Amino acid sequence: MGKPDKTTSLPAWSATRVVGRPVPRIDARQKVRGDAVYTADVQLPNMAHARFLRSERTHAKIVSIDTAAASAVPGVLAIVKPDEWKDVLLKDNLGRGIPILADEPKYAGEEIVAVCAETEDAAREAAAKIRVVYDDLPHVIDPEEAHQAGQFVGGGWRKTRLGEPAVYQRGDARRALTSGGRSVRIFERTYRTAPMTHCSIEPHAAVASFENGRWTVWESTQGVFAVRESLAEMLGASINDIRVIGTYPGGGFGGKVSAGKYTFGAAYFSKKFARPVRFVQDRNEEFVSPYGRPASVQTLKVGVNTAGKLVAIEQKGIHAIGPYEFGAEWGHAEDLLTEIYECPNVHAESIAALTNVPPPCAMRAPGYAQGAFALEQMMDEIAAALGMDPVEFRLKNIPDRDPDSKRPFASPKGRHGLRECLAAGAKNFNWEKRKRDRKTHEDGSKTGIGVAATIWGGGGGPPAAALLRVHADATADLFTGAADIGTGIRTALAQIAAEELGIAVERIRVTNADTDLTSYTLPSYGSLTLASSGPAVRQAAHDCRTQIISLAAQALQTTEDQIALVDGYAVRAATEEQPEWITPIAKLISQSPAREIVGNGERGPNPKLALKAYGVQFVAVTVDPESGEVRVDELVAVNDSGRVINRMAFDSQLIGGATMGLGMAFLEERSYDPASGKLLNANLADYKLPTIFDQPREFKLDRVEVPYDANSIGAKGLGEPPVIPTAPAVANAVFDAVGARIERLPISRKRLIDSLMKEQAKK
Amino acid sequence: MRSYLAEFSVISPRSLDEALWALKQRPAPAPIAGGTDLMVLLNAGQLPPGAYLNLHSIPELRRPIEFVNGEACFGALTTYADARRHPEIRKRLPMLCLAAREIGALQIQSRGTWAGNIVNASPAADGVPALMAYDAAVELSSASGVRSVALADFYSGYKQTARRPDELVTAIRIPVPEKEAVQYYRKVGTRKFQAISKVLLAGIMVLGKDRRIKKIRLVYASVMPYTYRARAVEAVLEGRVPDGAAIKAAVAALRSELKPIDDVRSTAAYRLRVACNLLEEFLSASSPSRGEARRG
Ligand SMILES: Cc1cc2nc3c(=O)[nH]c(=O)nc-3n(C[C@H](O)[C@H](O)[C@H](O)COP(=O)(O)OP(=O)(O)OC[C@H]3O[C@@H](n4cnc5c(N)ncnc54)[C@H](O)[C@@H]3O)c2cc1C
Repeated sequence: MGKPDKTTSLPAWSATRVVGRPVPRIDARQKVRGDAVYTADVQLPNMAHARFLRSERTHAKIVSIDTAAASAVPGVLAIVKPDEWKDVLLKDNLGRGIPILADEPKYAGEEIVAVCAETEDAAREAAAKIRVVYDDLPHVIDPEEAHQAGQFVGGGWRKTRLGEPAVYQRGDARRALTSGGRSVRIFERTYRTAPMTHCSIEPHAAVASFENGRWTVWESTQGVFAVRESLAEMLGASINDIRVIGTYPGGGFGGKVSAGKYTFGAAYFSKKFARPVRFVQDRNEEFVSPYGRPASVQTLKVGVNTAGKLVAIEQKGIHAIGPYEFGAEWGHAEDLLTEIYECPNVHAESIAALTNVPPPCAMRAPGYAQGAFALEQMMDEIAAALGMDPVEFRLKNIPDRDPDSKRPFASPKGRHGLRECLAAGAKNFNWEKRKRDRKTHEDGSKTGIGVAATIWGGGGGPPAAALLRVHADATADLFTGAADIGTGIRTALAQIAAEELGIAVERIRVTNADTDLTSYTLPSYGSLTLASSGPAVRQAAHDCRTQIISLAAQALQTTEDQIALVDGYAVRAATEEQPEWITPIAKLISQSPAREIVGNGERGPNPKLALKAYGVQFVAVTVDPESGEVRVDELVAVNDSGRVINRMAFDSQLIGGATMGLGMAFLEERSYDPASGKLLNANLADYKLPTIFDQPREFKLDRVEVPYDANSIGAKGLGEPPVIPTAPAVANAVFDAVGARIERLPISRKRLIDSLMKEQAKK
Repeated sequence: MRSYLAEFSVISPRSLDEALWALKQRPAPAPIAGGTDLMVLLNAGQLPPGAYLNLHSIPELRRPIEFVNGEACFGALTTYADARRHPEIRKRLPMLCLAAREIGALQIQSRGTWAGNIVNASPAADGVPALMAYDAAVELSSASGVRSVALADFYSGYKQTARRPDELVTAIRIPVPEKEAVQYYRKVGTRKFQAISKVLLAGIMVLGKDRRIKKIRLVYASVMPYTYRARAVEAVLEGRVPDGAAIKAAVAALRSELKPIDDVRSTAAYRLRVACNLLEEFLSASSPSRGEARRG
């Protein structure tokens, strides 16, 4: 293994008292009682309210904006048209900007006017009374149509010119597919996934106040520091002119990583009128701003040899990324296939098609969720054609080092998370036996089983820092920059501190996500938060621990290696000469010169190893071929995220992720009317999310904790992996039940009936 | 966008007479019962501004479910929860309970009324088909008198009903069917619960000793522009033994009788196919409990 960095220089925990236990969230009570404050709840004296007017047209030049009637609405403070903010740009990860207000809206729902008023009602009324004259321009919704017209750039993390795809290449896939002769069998299929929306329970929201030359912004966000940077740029201000306070965010899922147009609006008006301004989006606005998972069309061509080894993968992915190049980094789905299985020849093209729909942003497992739907069904199809068990086929193609970077894995020799997940999952699910179960039942229903696998990064890394103050009564304050977007990271970090300090979790208060009070930390995205901030917290706590032990050694007149910290006490174990000696940690600190102990921790770099997390899901379904209804009877999820810090939070991630995956599989799709280009279902009645009744009758959750020492807590990411394998596992199970391949998501009742009819017609 | 509240007013009459008198105004105020249809429109900014009539303040309308002369009688404010909780309804009119549990979740079931479901006249209403299959009648009251209309004759087109704007639904009468009746209620929605149906069939069938069909009712929701009783198919089936040949004839008749709608939720082709599949499933059901057994 590689050279350990500063944070890994702490030895791995041997036995743990708090880490690994199922610990209820430290804020559960507050949340359940409704005491937790979310941004939309923030009420300040003399607060004004802002909102956007959005384009009614899909693509149009604005001829005129008449605000006379709107300005006459009592309580209206300001109406801002596009030219007033024309120099302000919201930027994506690669620095591509879009206007806050568009004078040529390029998708229905794009922001065109901003209104600020005394009350929310007045702002609504004024917005409704603005008269806009549009001159319609042509639009394109279908990404394939845009691709054919040459209107695309490369998707992913490298910018390209117009008309140039982003290409990933290793080996020579084309040659391997054409010159393999009889020994290489080739499989080809096109898969389509739907555009989706995060549907966080709390909409995007910001409240800004401007006092003494400085903004304070409360934001529902995954990353306070990212909001601060982006907002400072839009305002032309110093980052130190802005304090961002992350309230409890009501979900994020990738949609709240940085500042939004509304954040700028709130900050702008708060300075202009020297009073606080609240800017909260409505539910229907959540479907156009900001964005979500882009639609994808993926064509896979895979070659496999007679021994069942993958020889080559060719992939072409077309993604609808909106009218600007903004967000094109989310228009790709090839990552998973470049790294999950051993395959010497890979050629993948990412095409980010310019379409008149909202630009995309990250959404839980961006790219991977779409990519898995294609690849993991293809694996199933190939296994069947080769007469191999799909679990065995996957096992056969597990790489022994990272196929992309060629680095060794950060796990002990001979151990691989995916292999162990597949084995544990097959056992839990009783795969071998169920493979032979009858599929057709007396009432006409059919049952089937399916499996799918995933890989994800989630190794985390710098920058992340933590500060811990242990007080004279052995309570502690932990300061961390990380946002808790619902994963329970605040609890996990408190557990890590408690483990080191030998005090109870309840004695640690966590202050997080505040740019004034906590140190710089990356946003909570990419499933990296625990693996980034966890080691920083452990180091801060270890720093305090060392100081407490040194005080104890003096007080107990012994050497430091004789002291243990347990349940709030420093303990020197009994020896033959001396009895056990014990003293409260509180007493040690209260008698110390500083009267408190302060520790600092900073996340160091990772070793040069491949840092990967894994997971599998096995599902059993019952299909009613008369109505197209599918019931998920059982779902087994097994993940390798290294050391599990909180078993309860681990289970919650698996349940939440798989449920979201079921939404992707069966229900979720933003539907556009191709003629008008308008979104037809911008509400939660017509865009359906799974409810508790759509969850499997039985969840079985398990973990394999393959030892991982790339960081000092031994943990890696889990936020995104559980959403990835669900849709392909379900699709494979549906195929097993009825013999129809699922080429398009979501698997609606109608689509299933259609593909059954197609299968029947073939026979 | 949400409606502007100042443009709305609510009348709360203290008696039925006062309410019926208020309904003589032009335009007549629209009644609000549970408000579970109206409030959605209000929130979406689609509720016409003006006066509304609150039914909860009228003591005559707040009466419990009664059984009179072999008929169940619902009041204007009888909710789905009232029906689900009623032991006699559960036993003698089980499709009403199946329908009630399909509607929204507990909040909607405790608030939404059967009368509101009828008057709202959505082609996708889940309560109406069960009532129609039971041959329910709607009592309409106005300042000029009371009349009764068979629910099967209540609709004539999309959102077209027999109710005049000055009339209130004051009761729904539901005859209790024969003990041996085979009952079938199945909703196919986008997801389990809390979803508007794509296709729904409520059916009731009484067989004679000779196994011939004495009486049959087939009511579809979400297929036609209004809750639709497939009378032509009923006529094909009446007097026949529901065997393979009869089922085939019935499905063929249904294919020509239905002209399914195409909308965001589904397509005509899907609806027709599933409508036929449900009919087949109902007719081949041998035991009365089968419809119930199918509920997931
Ligand atoms: C979240 C949600 C889920 C839902 N799910 C379902 C579902 O699954 N299935 C389903 O069928 N429906 C569903 N609905 C729709 C609605 O709940 C039902 O249609 C309900 O029966 C309406 O009754 P109400 O008393 O609330 O009607 P209201 O909203 O009060 O009124 C509806 C209409 O009926 C009129 N009206 C009401 N009472 C009378 C009367 N006595 N005389 C004359 N006119 C009257 C009103 O003027 C109005 O036009 C849902 C609604 C919501 C909000």
